Amino acid sequence: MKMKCSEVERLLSGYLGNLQGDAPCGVSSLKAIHIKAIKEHLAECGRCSECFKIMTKVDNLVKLKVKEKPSSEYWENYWPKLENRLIENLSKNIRPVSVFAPRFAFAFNGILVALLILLSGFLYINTQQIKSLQIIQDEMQEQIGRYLFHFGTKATHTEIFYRDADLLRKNSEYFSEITAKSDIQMLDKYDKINHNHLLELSKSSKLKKEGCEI
Amino acid sequence: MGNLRQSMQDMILVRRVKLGDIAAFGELVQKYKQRIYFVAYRMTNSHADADDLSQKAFIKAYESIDRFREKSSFFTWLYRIVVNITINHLKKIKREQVFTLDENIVIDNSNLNNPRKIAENRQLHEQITKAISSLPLKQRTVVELAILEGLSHREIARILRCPEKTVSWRLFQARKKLKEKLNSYV
Repeated sequence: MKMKCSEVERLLSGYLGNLQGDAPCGVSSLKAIHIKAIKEHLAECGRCSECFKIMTKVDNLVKLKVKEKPSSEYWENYWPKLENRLIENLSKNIRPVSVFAPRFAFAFNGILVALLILLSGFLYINTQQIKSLQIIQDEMQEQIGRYLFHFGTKATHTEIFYRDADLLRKNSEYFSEITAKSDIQMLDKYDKINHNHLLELSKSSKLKKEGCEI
Repeated sequence: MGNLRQSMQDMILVRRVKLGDIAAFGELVQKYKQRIYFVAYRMTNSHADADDLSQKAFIKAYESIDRFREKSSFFTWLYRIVVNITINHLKKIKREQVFTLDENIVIDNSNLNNPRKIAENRQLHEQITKAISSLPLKQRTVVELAILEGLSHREIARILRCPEKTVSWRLFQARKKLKEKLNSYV
């Protein structure tokens, strides 16, 4: 396997590391075939072998730094000093378990989701009740409209019935918290009252004179 | 084989630490304190910083030992902690590099009897320190770990969480720059 100078240049760092015991467990980024090819290339190419020598010198110079060391006293006191710091840190970190601690976060999120589901269900049911109540109100107004049609459209009577209709609507709002079923029962009751009221009105008023029938 | 044995010994100690045995952690500290200290020292060029950062790294390792899943060696994991702590520290302070040698550091002059040679040796050390300090942080880290610590490119790649090729490339670039800076000695 022949290698070009550019390839050798690229692999030279790994090769140097390999020579310097870079791979103590035999683990190297360079394959044996590459190492052999680099060796052959360095034996033939003056430029690359010069580059290799310079790199080795640089490494040896850098390694001189290893000789710098703190005093032996420093190393003797290293662990006792660190142990004190560790104990100090541990005592600082002892605090009541927070609800936001990871072990509680899951349970907390679960409760939150359950609450949200309950709330949305409650809102949905309420909206349905409001809708049914609105339907009832509309029906009531329509019924009153029918009565008005039967009794004629004299202004005086029209005003009376609209006032009654308004009262009915206000009352139905009062019952907004009861179920739809009881609402319907209540509507029947109101219907009867309203019907009787209209009968009384029709008997006592001029409407009878005009020959209208209920 | 020796590495495997060391790694097994470390794992036994790690499991003891996980059970709350602080003395086992003390054994790990005794084993790695110098290497961890020197990683921090060579990157900061300050004895005070290296002392503080290496201790911080050990404290962090102790506090998060439960999160160490034993997929890599304890040593690689510890290196990652100290390298990250030191890099963060350097980014935070962004101070000018210290080129003079710390007074707390003793240079090995055991082979030199001549005062002139001792002075020259100190000057050489300062030049080397200056040259390494002038490298970009990423290249400097790779130089420290590869040339001075003798770690394999694969191990450095694991510590820095980057591809092996990136490690080789950074090292190549760093050597080129160091050659320029230390031209009179090469």
